[in-house]
Amino acid sequence: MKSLNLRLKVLFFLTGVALVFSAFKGYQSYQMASHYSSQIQLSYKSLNSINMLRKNRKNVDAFSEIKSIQQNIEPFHREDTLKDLVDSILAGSKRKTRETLKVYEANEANYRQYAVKHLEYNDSNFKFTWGLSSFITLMLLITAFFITENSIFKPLSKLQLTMDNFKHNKYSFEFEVPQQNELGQLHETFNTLAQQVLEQVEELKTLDQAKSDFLSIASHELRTPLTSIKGSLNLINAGVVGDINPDAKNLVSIAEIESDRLIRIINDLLDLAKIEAQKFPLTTAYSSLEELIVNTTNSLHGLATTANVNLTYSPLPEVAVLMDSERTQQVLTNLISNAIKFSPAESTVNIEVSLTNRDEVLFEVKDQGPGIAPEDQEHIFEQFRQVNGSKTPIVKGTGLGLAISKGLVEQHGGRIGVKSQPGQGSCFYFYLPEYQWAKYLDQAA
Amino acid sequence: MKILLAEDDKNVAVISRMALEKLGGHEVDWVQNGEEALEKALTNTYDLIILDEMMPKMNGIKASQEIRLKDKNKTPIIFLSAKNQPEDIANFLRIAEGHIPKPFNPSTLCQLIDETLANASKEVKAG
Repeated sequence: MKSLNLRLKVLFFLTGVALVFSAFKGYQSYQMASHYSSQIQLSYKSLNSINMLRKNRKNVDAFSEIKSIQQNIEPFHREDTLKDLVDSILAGSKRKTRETLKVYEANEANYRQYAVKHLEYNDSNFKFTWGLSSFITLMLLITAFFITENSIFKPLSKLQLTMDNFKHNKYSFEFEVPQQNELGQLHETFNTLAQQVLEQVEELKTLDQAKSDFLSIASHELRTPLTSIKGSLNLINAGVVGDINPDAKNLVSIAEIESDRLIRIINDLLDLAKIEAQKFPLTTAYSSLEELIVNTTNSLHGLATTANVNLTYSPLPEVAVLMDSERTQQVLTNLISNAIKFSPAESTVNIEVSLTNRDEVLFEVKDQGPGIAPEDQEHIFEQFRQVNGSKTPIVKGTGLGLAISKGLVEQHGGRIGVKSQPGQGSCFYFYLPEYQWAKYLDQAA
Repeated sequence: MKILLAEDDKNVAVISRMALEKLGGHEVDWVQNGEEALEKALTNTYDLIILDEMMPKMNGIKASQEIRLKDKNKTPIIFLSAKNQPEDIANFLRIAEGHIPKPFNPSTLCQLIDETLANASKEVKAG
């Protein structure tokens, strides 16, 4: 693997080296310039002081200045020559002084020439080195920039885009050949993961289809024998094959009723299976709330009367609710008939519909029955749960009504629940999430 | 009426025939698969053809398509089937005059048939 990490680290290291080298060279150059400049200065200073000393041998300032110059002068031979000169001045020999001075001046002139040359050389050396290392540093940085841009950020954002698409279930993407570096590894890992996900999605689709097929076949396989059973019983009871004695007729009736019940259970189970697989076909539209409530209560009027229970509803908001009206009626019918079943004679079952401040439609079915214990409330919406203590119903339930109601409500995007205390009646409620003001419905129509 | 009944389950066939013959007074010819149904439909004349969906050799839908193609009498067809999902019913109604779901009540079978045929002819007149 051609490691990006290694490459970038090397680049940064080299850049560091170049910068340190620049700094070092700059310092070196400064030192040199400083040195030669000050030496040239010292040279002129020394000549000046020598002159002063010649004029007055007792000039203490000049003498001490020369002494300090002597300490700082370089190289050593200049120091020696200066020393000789000072000695001859102090000794008072004019001739020696003149000769030594000539030599000293010539030496100094040479030295200054030499020093200036060094300064010039130093200057151009510095300019060159500094220019070169600046250029190298710049090149290294540009290289680093391009590497990060092309080998890191571009592939990263491409990968990000692919992953984002994937997240939104756009599963079509190209399996590019990944680069031979760390990002490539990341890309490869993603590719592998993506493939796994796709395989699982396919598997789920297959399972789903198998489930659908099973439901379809089971539906047929269960209904066919029931057709024969129900049919036979029905024909016997209808007298098609002759008269039968009352006891036999009674038994046949029992068998007929129970096979009808079995058919209802099978229908409910298959419905429930479909709802849970989220394959239950709902046809939703904005439908009048008033119509829904009126139709439902009308159809249950007979049941209520037989059970000696009042079925009423509170004033309704004038809305059209987004729902499958047939299925919502099924839910309401289920809740209301349960309420009637569990209500004592002469009591009232009331339906209330209201709009919440979260823009939902809240349906409540309130009864004055015995209420439901908190520990039962948890399980009530599960399959085949029937609470003990209901009166013998006119038509026995399947135990699936609430489970189906829950599934239907949830498929509308709503939620269902119960509020109840033992001895204080029950309130079964559900929310549907979307509604419109009914007047808009009329305008559209 | 003279009715052709295609049903592969013998028990269901017995019950259907009893209901149609004893309660409805109809004459019933019985076959057990789509192939035989097609054959009989083309050689004889019937007032009504009742088809089950899931049959061996040729299923109900296929048989009905073939009959529609070749039957000059335009005999009405009713599906009698356990398949009751909206897609299935839509498929049936594309070709046939009606659909009666299984399990059915034999006592009311004849009534259902009469109603279905009445609706179908109303639609023809209206359309």
